[in-house]
Amino acid sequence: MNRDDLEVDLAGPPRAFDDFYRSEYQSVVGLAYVLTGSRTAAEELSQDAFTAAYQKWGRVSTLDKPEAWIRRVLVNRCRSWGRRKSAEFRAMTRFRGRRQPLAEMPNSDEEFWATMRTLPTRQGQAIALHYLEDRPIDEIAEIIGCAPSTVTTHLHRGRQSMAASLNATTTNNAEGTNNAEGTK
Amino acid sequence: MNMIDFEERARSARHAAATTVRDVAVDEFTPRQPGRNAAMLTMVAAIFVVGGWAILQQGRGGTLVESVESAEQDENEFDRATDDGQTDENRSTEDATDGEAAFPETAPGFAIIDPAPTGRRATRTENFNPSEQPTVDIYGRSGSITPFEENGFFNLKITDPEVVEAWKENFEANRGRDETIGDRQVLILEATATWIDGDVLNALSPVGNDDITRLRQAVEELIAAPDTPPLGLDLLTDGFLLDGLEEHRVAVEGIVYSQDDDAGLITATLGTGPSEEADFVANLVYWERLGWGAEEAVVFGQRTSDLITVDDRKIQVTHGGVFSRVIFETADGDTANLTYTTAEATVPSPDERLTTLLEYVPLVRRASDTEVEQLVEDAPVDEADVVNEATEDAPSAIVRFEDESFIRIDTESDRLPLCVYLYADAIGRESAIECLGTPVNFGSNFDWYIENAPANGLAFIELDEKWKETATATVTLTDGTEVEAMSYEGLWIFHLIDSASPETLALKSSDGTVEESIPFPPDLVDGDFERLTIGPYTSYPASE
Repeated sequence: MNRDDLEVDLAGPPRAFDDFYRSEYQSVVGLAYVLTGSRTAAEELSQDAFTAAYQKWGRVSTLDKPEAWIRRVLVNRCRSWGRRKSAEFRAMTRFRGRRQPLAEMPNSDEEFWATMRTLPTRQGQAIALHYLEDRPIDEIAEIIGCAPSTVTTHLHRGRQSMAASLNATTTNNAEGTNNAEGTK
Repeated sequence: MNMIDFEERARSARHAAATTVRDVAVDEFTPRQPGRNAAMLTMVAAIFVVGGWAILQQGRGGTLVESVESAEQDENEFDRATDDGQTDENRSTEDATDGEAAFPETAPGFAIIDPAPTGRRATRTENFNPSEQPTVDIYGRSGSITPFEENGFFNLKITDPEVVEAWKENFEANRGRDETIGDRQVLILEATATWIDGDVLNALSPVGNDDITRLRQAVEELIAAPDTPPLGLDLLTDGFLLDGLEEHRVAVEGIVYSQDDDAGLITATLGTGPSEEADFVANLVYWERLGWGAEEAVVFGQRTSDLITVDDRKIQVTHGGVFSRVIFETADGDTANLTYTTAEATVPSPDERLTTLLEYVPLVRRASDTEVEQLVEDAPVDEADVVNEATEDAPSAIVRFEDESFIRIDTESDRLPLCVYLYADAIGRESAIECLGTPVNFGSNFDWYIENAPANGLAFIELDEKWKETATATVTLTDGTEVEAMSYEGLWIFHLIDSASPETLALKSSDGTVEESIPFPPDLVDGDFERLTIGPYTSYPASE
């Protein structure tokens, strides 16, 4: 992008983008939050994702589901963030063994999301999109980039793993529907 | 313990998450730099050699233009992901421009002493009690320093102006001296004369007396030894120690640092000839906020006949020919130019002094087959993740175990298909213990592998149908030795590193009968058999 483009962009977002931003931002932050476990990082990553959307709004706005686009970018960024964070954490732990993230919600609920974050990446993403956002299977598949059947598998495995970790019982109704009814 | 319904837990967690972000302000969108709080690490000074510690100070970096480019990158990533089902990001770029800072900003006038990444060094540091309020005796002038811990780093501020002056005046002239902090000795092995507002103690490394003695001895011997590359190089190269370990093997050790805030992306140019033209360019994307201290330090490289691994302040270059030049270049063109000219015959062999020296660097060892199998079996990721990760190449894996030991897995392993993905997934990303998965289908990723994998003396031959049932294939080398291929998913893989030039390729039936013997396909290496010994991966349809 050249300077001219930049100046135009800086004149302000188009109205449609502004509406998109206002309607999606909070839930995107929420998604980032459960994926990262850090509200600060969540806001940061969400801002970055919206910046990406803003810069290409002319094209993104023509997509059927810009909200899926923004979430795709977001989950990728969260994933990268997680890599960096885990590396940083390990190194810092080696140095001194502290640096615990601040708890920002009740422990039992934080435990749920923290357990989710221990899942393999795709499983965790699927769980977050399913249980936090009530996204149907097809949309989850679109966002994380895999087949719906794979999402179902991820959800099933993720739930089983989490339930075991949380000492919780499970019913198998969640991934069996495209409407995520089990979470309502 | 009572079992709670998972769905109930999920509903509660969902409500809590929504509540937590409920007060997130949704103001008018304002374009800004991604990672607004991100700070690119600037390593402003470094102690180096094996006992070195980096002094790290971060500065803010990035412009709006960069942010736009970064955002654009994201979109491209999405497009790519949409197109091919991949979700991976170009983390190389992102890592260089984005992300949270590992270290908090430090007020001018303070130096940060990195207690160093290894357990050994960390242990030493633990023995240093910052509450001792030690005094420091530097160059004949005593004064107090004020240590404090911040985010796990011992920060030392010289509080005595006289000592500050003494330090400045004598810094350059007294490299290598040891000093005393309280009852601890401090070894100044190497450092650059860089100040932060002029009041910073650049480099103090609290170590024990025995360590000092051994380190000093090792360094002195290195300096005194003939054919030893210089220890002290120009600014920006002061962080390097180039060491000949053995024939065809050269190690570069040290800390890469930059005077500005572009330390996230470093390009290493390795040359094998006298010209400036690079024989190999590798992008070293390291954990900018942790520098070389992190085991996830590096990812590279695109096209090379070398094998480079980086682990904890050590860059090891395994090269099949004469190694003459290493240039490290930061993203904005700052060049750390290290020239090392030697012929194979003059590269020193390992000896006692090097052994001594290497005790202080975390050596990696080769993984056993059992270890590799166990790693893969235990890896808590699914296949899809591994496939995605593997789209970014890297020539080797540094696998870190939970007990902090390391192993190195490289393509010299006879467990090649497995190991390829170990390394492709591991280095520079996460510790392999986290990211290894079930070995992906080698065949399905073959195109990527051929296109992108760095070379390590491996030749791949894709079998024609009529040879699928052939039991073995053997390459006869010019020296008469035979190299038998490994077969995997219709591919034969010849491991030819450090071997003589290949001459013939024999295809054998299961009873060992030679069914066909042909000249070794020259297409593999563009007719340059010499290169083949370290040559690139390639494929060749054997039926042609």
